[in-house]
Amino acid sequence: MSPGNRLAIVLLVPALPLLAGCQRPPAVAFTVAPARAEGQPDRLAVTMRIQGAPSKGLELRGFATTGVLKIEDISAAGADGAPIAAATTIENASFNNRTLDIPRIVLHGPLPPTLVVRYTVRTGTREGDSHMGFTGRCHGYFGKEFGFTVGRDLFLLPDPAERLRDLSVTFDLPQGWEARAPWAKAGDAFRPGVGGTLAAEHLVSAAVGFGRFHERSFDLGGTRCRLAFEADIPAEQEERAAKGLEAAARYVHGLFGRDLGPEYLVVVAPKAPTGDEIAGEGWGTGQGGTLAPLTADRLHTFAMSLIEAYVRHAPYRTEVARPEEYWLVDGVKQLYSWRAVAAAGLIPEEEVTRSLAVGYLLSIGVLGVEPDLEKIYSSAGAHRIETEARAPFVLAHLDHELRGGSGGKETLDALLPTVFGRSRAPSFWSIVPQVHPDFRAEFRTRYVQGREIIPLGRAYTLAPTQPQPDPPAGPVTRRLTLLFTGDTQGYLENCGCKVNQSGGVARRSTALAALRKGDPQALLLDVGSAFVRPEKQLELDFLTRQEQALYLGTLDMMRYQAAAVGTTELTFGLDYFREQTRGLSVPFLAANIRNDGKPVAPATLVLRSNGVRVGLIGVFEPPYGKTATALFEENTQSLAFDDPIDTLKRVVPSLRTKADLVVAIGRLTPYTIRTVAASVPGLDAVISSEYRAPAKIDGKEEHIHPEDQPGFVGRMLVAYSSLTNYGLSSVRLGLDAQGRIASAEFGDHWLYEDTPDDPRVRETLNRFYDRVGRLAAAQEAVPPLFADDPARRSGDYVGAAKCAECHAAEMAQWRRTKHASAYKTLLDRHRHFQPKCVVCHVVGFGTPHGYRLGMPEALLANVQCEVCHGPGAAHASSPAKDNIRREVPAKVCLECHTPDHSDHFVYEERLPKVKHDYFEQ
Amino acid sequence: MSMLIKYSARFLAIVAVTALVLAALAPSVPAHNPYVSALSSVSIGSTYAVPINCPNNSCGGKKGCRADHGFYCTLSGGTCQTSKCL
Repeated sequence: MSPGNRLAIVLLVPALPLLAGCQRPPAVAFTVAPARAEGQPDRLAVTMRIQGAPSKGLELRGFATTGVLKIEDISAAGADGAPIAAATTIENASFNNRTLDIPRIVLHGPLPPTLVVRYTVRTGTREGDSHMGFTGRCHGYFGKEFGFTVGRDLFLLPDPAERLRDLSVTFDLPQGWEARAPWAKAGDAFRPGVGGTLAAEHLVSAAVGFGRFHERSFDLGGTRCRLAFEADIPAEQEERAAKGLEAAARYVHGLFGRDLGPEYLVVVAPKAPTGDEIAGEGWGTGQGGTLAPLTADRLHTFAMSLIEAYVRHAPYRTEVARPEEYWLVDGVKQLYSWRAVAAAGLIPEEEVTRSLAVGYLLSIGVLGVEPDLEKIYSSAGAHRIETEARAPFVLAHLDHELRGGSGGKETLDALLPTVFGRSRAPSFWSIVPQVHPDFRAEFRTRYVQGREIIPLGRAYTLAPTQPQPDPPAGPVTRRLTLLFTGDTQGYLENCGCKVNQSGGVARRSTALAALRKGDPQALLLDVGSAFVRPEKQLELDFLTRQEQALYLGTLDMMRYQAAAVGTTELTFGLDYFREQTRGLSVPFLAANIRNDGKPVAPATLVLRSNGVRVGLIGVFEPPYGKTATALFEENTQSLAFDDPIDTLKRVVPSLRTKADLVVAIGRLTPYTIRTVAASVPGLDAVISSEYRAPAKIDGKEEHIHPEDQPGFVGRMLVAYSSLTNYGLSSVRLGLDAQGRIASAEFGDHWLYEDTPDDPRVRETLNRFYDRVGRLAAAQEAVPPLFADDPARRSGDYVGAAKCAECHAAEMAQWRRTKHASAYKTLLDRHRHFQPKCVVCHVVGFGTPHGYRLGMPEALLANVQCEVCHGPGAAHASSPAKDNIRREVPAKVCLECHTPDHSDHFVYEERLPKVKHDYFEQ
Repeated sequence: MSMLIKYSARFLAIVAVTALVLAALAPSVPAHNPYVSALSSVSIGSTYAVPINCPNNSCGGKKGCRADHGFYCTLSGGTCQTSKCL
């Protein structure tokens, strides 16, 4: 090298940092400990020692929303203890048309080079809201038993975080506790980062456990997979979870045929003591969250996160190079995560493709879905349906076509190591085998680019049911009517505020009376899931239990003669089922459900109608995967579900000796029903609550319906309770001289608003609302609105009349809106003692100074000024602009105008109608 | 003087080449891609992307709405429409 060049390089080296426009990023050492203050058992105290802070000032940024990363008591000081002002602000980021509020702390310069920032974080935010109910998930937990969090719910970082290289974390935990985190350890400190890079990303995405742990480990090739079980997880749960996690992990590792880093840590937490599942997160070095007891859904989450380590997350991912092939990342993740659950034995293999086929079929009719998968990353929007329903099924279909076209020699699985074996993926289509000429181009154009819909009729659908039995029966000699409901989910009646107001027990009773006039001996059956479903009522509070008991009581009032044990009967556990059905007249049947070897309910029952002895069998096929809730899986782990087909083969012959007609009621999928029809010859009919399956509706390949239709499969009759809580169904059977079903007339009876209430049931409901709604326990079961707004929950309300003293024009305008007559809606529908309804039709229900049941209507009834503008006592006594809320953000309205209660509410359209410059014509 | 100009030119040339090399080595992933960093706003949103107050139902053909995660079914004038929850 010439001296000139040498001189140039000498000049360049010191200039490079300046050229890059940066100085060395600060180093941050975190110390995390339980908060010491009294009454803060759920708080973690975080100390950040920042070295090399820029003199001009520093901003600390969070990586979770303010609803989750709840920063309290923040303070900053120099190394000498001199305080530094820390201003808390909120950064607004946009995600899928939603605004995310992210905490940002500003430390204005001049700053000393070494800073100490202290703050506490309140863990355990529950997802959902107190009015509509919680989803059953929470973000982090810290208590006396154990703790779990993800990095983003705990840490702030100097902005821009991407440049940070030197981060360390030390934990100061109670005696005997340890921390489990996917970071390398140096002495007492953990050091996030891989190969000297990605420190901030590694910190933020980490799953961290605190407490006592049992560790198990196994090798996935060159990657050591560590499972850290929180020590209080019962041994049998740990054993089951360890088996399932290892099976799924081995399946995933086998698919990609390569290793991740040297170690992959899985922090296995139990549920939080509140009953909530703790949300986890994953990255290339590990993951964690509530994984015990292990359910199919939790194993799916685990498998998906592990697959993401190969296909999405730094630092071990393979990057798909071509933007038009990005959809592969989603497709592979979704398809193979479910296949991993099947490989671990938690769901049947065929259930994966079936479930994806139904999802794909449903996605066809959804507005706004991008048909071309190659465009989902270049067009605006969330594309959840495309990535979660369409992409995996397109891949499943590709697999199907490859196998079919090659006689089983070619598979999608075999392509994965080639595509995802290195850091950069080759072109996918270049390696897809041409199982017939132009296969690749045709498949891509038709199904990936969405020019055509995948021909479900050829491979994924059931043969349609037929209108007549095969072989035909003899001439009809007797008639029999079966009336049935199913999947009614404890639905008493609509709330009175939705556009769709179908259903309700009072209307059902009226419809039944009319149908019984046609056949007084008609049999009335419920085929299962008459209990409330957990998505609606996660917690069995006082009011929910009372409503459930009332609902079951109305079954007796309507003279139900038998019911099957279904999914929701077991979702809250066997004890709850027994508690609720004690003393009921209607018998619940279950032939294949055992607890400690004993049946949980009678298997069969013989009823008589029009001289026909009808033998009923309760049978239950448990839901799997997406159709099963975690609560159901957890609460049924002690139960044994015998194979429904084997059960029917065993029970039907003996029941036949006592009955002229044998009918199975309960939950059987249309797929199982086809097998039953072929293998249980003595069974005359099945009435099932589960009807979902892609089925050809008239035998034509292109006429596919996502639900099976009633009719005959061979000689067996099939009927479904598909009206759920909106109606009831009937089938009028014609029997031949031998008792075989010769004909069937199916009827759907919707319970629209033109169906009057049965006065007797109406009166029962009204008395219930009056009696139970007044009880303190029922009112306490309905929390006040605005859970995150302490001022609204503790404020002093004065009522609209007081506001009108100064705001007469606004009052006049308000009186013309529907808000001013909101309470009358309750009176008209007799819901004025139903706390779940009252809370949205008055001011401050459930708060110390708000509306109370029975209060004079004029004072705080209706949706008054203070619902929008907040408690007004201070403003009324001393009017000022700064002691009343002039602006009304959308979330105030959306607290009550939810899809469940206000199903056609569009905020932007409705807002002008309540503004004070608007007058209804 | 001429030496200074010469060395300055070499210095600028090296700077230019270095910048070009850095640019060439930088990842060329487009803005919308599956590889978002855990630090990005998209990751923050995705972490909490459970639809809030989503009724989780979809059209059941002529039969009304039935449970279906992430969808939102409306019945109006006898027709049913399924939409995505945000």
